[in-house]
Amino acid sequence: MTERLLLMGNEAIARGALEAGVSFCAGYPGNPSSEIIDTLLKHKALWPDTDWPTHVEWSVNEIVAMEASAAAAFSGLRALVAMKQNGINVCADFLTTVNLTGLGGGALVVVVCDDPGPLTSSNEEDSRYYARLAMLPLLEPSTPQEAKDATVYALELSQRTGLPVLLRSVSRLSHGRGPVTFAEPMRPAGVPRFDTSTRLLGLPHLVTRNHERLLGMQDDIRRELEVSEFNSFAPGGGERLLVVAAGLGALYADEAVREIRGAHPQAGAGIGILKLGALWPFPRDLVARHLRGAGAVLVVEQVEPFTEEQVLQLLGDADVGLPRTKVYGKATGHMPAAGEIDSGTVLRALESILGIADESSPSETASAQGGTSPAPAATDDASTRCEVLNGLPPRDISFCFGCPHRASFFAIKSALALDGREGIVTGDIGCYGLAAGPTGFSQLATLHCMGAGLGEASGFGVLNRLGFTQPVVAVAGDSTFFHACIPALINARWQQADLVFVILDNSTTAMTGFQPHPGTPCSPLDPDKTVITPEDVCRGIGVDTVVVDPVADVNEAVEVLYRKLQEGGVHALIMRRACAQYEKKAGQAGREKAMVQVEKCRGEECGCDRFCSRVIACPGNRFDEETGRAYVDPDYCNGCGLCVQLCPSDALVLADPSAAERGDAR
Amino acid sequence: MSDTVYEGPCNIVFTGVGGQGNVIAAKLAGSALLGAGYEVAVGDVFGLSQRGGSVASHLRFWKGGPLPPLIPRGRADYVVGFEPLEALRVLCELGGPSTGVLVSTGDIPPTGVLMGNVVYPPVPELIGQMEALARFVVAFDGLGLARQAGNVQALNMVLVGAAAGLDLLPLSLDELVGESEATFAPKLRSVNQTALELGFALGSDEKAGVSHVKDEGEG
Repeated sequence: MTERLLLMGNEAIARGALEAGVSFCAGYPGNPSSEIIDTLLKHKALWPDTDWPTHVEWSVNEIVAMEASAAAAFSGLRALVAMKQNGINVCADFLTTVNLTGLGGGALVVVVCDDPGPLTSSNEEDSRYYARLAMLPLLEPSTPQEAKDATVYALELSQRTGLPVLLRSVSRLSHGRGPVTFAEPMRPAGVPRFDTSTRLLGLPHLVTRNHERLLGMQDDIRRELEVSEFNSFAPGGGERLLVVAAGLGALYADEAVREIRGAHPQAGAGIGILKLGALWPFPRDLVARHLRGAGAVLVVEQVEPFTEEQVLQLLGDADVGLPRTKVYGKATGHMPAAGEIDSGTVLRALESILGIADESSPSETASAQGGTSPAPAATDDASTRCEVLNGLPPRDISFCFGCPHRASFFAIKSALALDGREGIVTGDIGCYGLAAGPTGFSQLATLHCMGAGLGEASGFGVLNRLGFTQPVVAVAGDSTFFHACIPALINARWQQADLVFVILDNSTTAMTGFQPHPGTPCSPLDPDKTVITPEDVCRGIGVDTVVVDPVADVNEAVEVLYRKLQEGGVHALIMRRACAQYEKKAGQAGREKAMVQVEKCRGEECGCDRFCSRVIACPGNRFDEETGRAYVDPDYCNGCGLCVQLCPSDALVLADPSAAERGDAR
Repeated sequence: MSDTVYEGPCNIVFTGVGGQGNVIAAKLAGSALLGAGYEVAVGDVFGLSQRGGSVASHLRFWKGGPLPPLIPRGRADYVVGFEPLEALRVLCELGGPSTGVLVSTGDIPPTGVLMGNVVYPPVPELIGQMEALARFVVAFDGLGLARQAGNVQALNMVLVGAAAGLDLLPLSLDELVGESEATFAPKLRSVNQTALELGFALGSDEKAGVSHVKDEGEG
């Protein structure tokens, strides 16, 4: 028997691509999608059976990744592009034209990983609507095994139809693990070649014809999906209630129905589950067949009512001729219209529909987020849990210990305070989004999408012509800079805006797992790589640019920023210091650590009100209530020295902790 | 299917603070369970939530079909806590009256505590609250055992070992050590194997004091 391995959904998608003979893969990092390209970059080492020539790249942004992948498809290759839900928006312009021209001879699967009830995103957009908008096939697998199989099928389907095929994952699938059985990988056939008689042109006079061609393909693809292995029906016997469940929702429905059957065998009999994994073009015949004879319907899916709308449309279509059937779902409030779902959410919906009030079910603790179905009365036990939970101190996400962003935002806060004109900071996407919270001194006024901070600052920066008096600082990370900031920077310069653009350059795409970007310095492993620095780009645009290390000298960072705020025009200030976690990963962590010299720390008598632990709020800076003195936990110190610079009593020093143990530092 | 209690999968939550190694713990235990013939699902979170926040890996296994990666509220059989505050938090969120707790007593103060905005409750108080809510609580100095093994970062293997020693995981020490060979780079193996052994021994010692009747008092 073939071995089953425990794979993350994202790893399974990567494996599927290789089993389908992929040879070009691109993406831009973004949780929960990042491990797809990460895995493909390592595939020859991970899976020696896939040792063939491939091109795998971290592109500068999603639309470039998609366009580059499409070029591979135009040349006859099988290609994959991976992104998070925000990324498909970046691609939208290309996606809604390449669907009309088609792919030439190759294949392109577009993997989009959504983040319902966001764990790491600035929205919880449902990317499936792009399938409808661009009239492209859509698959939504439920397990890592299916994710692998669906990737294989998606590439085959794409090659046969000449259309990009969308594959939707969600955080819990992408980052969840499950058993996966491998199949023989397929070696790509032939070398890429673009047939110069091919014309892939989005010219106005061709659009309507191409649109009609695309519309004409829909029925054929739909008929194929009607009988897809990714759609299946589990009967309950004499369907009183039909659950139509898409993607991972099918597993949640399965568990909830099992639980109902265990606790209420009579009510539980007669619930059938129609699992949909091949969703678009919507398999309407299959769904209509199961709707006929169902007493009522519950639709289970994440996030928007994509499937639910299709079910309602089918029921309202006189030509289909279905009997009037009650549909439960987001519209009726039985499923949450926002946020994430789990088996408990489905269980509560089923209990409500079936009129069961189960005293022992988990439902009594009622979901905190988005639970719109009526919750049964809480038992004492559950209310005790709730009470205890509410009394616990929260654990807010924060900058890591030694994170250079802490110093950068201390500098921004200080410079704006010195300036005194109620300056505003426009934020962007990355770890530094945490600057909205206490470890970044609550500095961010806005946070939207990649590049938005600088675009917004470009607007704020010209408002002085209309009487606006507040200075504006835009922040963006180094990877974000290359992804989406350059047009906004050109615009700001062209429009003669007044702003300071702080580039928080930590040398890597930190939040998503340290992926490289054009400005990442060369490593000993890759000494010949091309490096494009943000300062070269800024100066090329004619923007005055200064580079500082905010951790090495936080006062210098404050002074430079303050000075730039007083001058008109666009200024770039690069705060450059490698990510503390990345340094740790690379084995370059500083040997020296911060230490409190007990004789110099005056504790509560200092008047600093525990400045190091209260203000810097680094996990390493602690206050000992018993001795009444600050101390540093060496397990949480990378020796960045920010607290050493800022202690008003100069009580902190950097020292070798092993020497300090011998008393040398005191 | 009888008309009594629903026989679900075994549900274990590994919870702690971002960076403590819960992801590797759940992955290693999950792989070993798969090797032992179970159907396994692991639910995990990466990214922003890892930055000093509460983290939880959901490990689910049984001899049935595919499982969703999230444990429903009230259905955690065991909470394996890398940190007492997070163990209590998850016990409240996902536990029920039959949930058992295995917890390392070493505390990590949240930012709000460092800043002096909120107080971290005394650890014995947290353990007491867990004892009032859980079927059993095994609390021990996991960091001490990890240090003894050679690195505080090996706390995750101490806890996986202890979970198996306590029979929360139906895995032998050999199975865990075998899986650790496949998981860790050679230079990290001996520390992690020692941590598994120390944890397993502690779990085995505590086993006598713990009742393993699952789903007691439910239905």
